[in-house]
Amino acid sequence: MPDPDGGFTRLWDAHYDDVLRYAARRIDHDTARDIAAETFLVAWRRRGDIPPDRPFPWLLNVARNVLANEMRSRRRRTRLWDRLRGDGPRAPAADVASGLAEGGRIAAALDRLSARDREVLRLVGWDGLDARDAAIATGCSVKTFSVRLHRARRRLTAALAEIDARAETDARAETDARAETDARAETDAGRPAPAAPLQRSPQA
Amino acid sequence: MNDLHEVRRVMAPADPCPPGAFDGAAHDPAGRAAYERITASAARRPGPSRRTTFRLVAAGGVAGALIAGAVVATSDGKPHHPAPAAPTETQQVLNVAATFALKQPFTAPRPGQWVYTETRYWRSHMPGKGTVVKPGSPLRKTVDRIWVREDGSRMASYEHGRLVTSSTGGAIPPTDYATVSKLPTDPDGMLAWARRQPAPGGGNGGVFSLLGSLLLNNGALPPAQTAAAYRAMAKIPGVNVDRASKDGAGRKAVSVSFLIEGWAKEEILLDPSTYAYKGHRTTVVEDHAMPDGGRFLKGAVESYSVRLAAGVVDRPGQRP
Repeated sequence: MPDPDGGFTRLWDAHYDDVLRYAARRIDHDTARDIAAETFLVAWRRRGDIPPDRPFPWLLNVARNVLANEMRSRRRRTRLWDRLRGDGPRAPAADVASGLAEGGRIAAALDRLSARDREVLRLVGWDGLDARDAAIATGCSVKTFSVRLHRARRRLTAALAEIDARAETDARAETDARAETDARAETDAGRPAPAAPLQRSPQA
Repeated sequence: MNDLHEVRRVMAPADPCPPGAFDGAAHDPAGRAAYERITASAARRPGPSRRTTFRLVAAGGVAGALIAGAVVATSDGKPHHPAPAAPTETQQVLNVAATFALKQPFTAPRPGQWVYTETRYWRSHMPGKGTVVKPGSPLRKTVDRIWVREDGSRMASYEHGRLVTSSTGGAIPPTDYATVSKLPTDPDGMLAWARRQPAPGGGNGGVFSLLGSLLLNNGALPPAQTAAAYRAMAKIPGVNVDRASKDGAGRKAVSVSFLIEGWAKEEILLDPSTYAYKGHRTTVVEDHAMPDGGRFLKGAVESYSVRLAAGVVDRPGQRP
């Protein structure tokens, strides 16, 4: 059946890219395409259920479930779990390596948080939702979401502080070690620690 | 607010997919292919909201909406006699239905329980270009078994014989107990609520359909809201009743109807003795051409439904 009133086409034009980005932030890009398509298939079948005033968080709520289903079946099927960005035992190396130093630092901090904290932060920080839309996307009340966001932000700050402290310690230890053997130690000591030490123990 | 801005500021450098990435993906080859595949798939709608009338209205498009406007203007334009001495037939029937509804025993679902609604639908196909739906055209029969958690967070239904639970994005009208149990319990409040909902087609037909869908899609609509919905219907200009109607199976039924867009008669059917809600029917009363060239002929049944079971259960998959 064609799209009689053009509503679905408008939905596609307005939100497909955003839904794809949402998925690509959480899984490899090939699978992200599938997640986006599956999300819109659900939307197509349930056109009558889409709240006309706020379709985007509704779509993300569907995408979240599609993604969760995909991960569940994947976990059963294979051990490709670590293709999931940030939710595996560790983030894909390419992400951290190709990101800026600052990105690597934040990725490392996110790694230390619970899956729920991470998701709350991603919805706001990356997907650009406000508390009301994020509450729809996650299926909780606005108040609950705001509380979760506040706590997640606090824990992110703490994780970042811990990482910075460790980086400093590592850098100092490195400096001390080199100072004994390498006369050029001083020039290296001024640089912040590279991303590598940050990945050492994500499960603090 | 502070949290939002701060989190965005801190998280931005680590975004693996910054704004701008995938721009235009909706229309690149992979996007186009996905779009074609999806819109070519069967118009199966496992969602809980079965807006049969909305299907018609949406398909009717602008022309349909204009006709609806004309009908509403006519019925609204009639001199309205305030407070008639005797209630009309419509008011009487709906008042009785409301009174019966209030007398029904009702047990509200407890937290974590599920509301089950089982409905059998008969639907005509949507006439495409050059095709016609006429009286006697075959109707496709489906049985919908839907569980909605009382808080509206999850729904479950059978897909390809498997019970699938998913989250709900909400529906218009709502289909979860938490929301419907908070709807107004007075007729005017209920009517005002229904008028505020975004109903395609709008006008009195949209409001009637919305209230009809509220009854159709909610297996556990509390008595107070059920009664308010009936009494709100009685306040919509243009609503008619027929005490001697028959349902799709030829059994006696009380029909409450509204003529949508001048060509589709939308009915809710009530049990003739208990006035309990039985289902809906949409009949074509005037030949109608769809924008894409398909036609509905006078006398054709667009769709009808019969509620088979409804109640509260502990988990999806369970029957009351």
